[in-house]
Amino acid sequence: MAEASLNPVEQFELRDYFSFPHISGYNIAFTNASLWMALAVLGVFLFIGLGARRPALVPGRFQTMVEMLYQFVSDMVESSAGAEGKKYFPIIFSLFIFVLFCNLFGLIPYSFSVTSQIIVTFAFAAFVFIGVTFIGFYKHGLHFFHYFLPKGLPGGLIGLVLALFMIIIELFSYMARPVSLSIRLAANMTAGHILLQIMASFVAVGIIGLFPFAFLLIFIGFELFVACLQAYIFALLCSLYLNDALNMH
Amino acid sequence: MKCVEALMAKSEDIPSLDRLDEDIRSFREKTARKPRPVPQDAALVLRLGVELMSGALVGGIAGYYGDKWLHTSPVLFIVCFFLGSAGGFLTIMRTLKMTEDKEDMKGNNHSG
Repeated sequence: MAEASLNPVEQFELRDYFSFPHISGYNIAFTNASLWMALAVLGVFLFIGLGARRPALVPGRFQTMVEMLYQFVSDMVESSAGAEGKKYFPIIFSLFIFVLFCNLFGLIPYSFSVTSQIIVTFAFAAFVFIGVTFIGFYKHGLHFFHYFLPKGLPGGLIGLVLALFMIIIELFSYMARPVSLSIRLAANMTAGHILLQIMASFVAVGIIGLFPFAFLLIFIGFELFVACLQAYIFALLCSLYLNDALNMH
Repeated sequence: MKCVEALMAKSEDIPSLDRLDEDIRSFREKTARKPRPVPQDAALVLRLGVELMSGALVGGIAGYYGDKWLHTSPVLFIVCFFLGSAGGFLTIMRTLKMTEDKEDMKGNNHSG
């Protein structure tokens, strides 16, 4: 990456670092995405591990940071999924912190933003979607199908037709969950990084370049906010979906 | 001299620490910022737009493949597209209603 590239979407290109033989037609090469995912996991391990290494009664700065993050997610799960949802706190916290670290690591110059790849976010979302549906059926049995039938429909033929329509609409609404969950995260990260790249390419035009540079500085702050917020939204929606499966509104 | 007099007068004005306590409390109440859950507000705004789009997308894809399967192009696509959009609207309506209910509950707690 010696010469600056002016193509704003080049940063999302996958590059193979190590190639392996294809397994039944699938390329399983170690790419820059794999590298940055591994680095994110390492970062999480270091962050949590160092923060909780020697737990003191009066926590230092680092320990406070880790504990606050834990408390924040724990409160969120409890307030949106209820006491029953506490059982699933580990998975939601893992998702939250992994997405958060991927988002934040993506903001390091010359790094790769994993969460801008829709396949990655869709894998998370599909995993959550299938898991939540499974929990719903496990807890309520076939009664879970009542989730798709709204209450208070009129009787008779009109009611039947309306019920049919409502079931289809509810089903679409339910199926749209993983799509919206994954697209939101990927689209936000992609848009932010493209804007940063375009702004950065305007900086090198002499004295006028100071304006885009100032904007770039502000915008990096905003991107940090978006990175944290999107991780929060992802975790919040996961716990809301969990709540729907556990308590069935 | 005037300054000292003013100070004396003021010190007579403040008979005890209770008054100071009161002042501090009223000042705190006056300047207290209402704790606003900023991330939640921002999260709500950023959440809803995608919801509508993904509903239409899912409906459209389901309709497209349904058409391919049943050779009814483009009936199912059109119908499912609109039903999917309705599903997106439903999600948005439900989310907003839930937030409203939550805020109502909060308001009751504050007044009660």
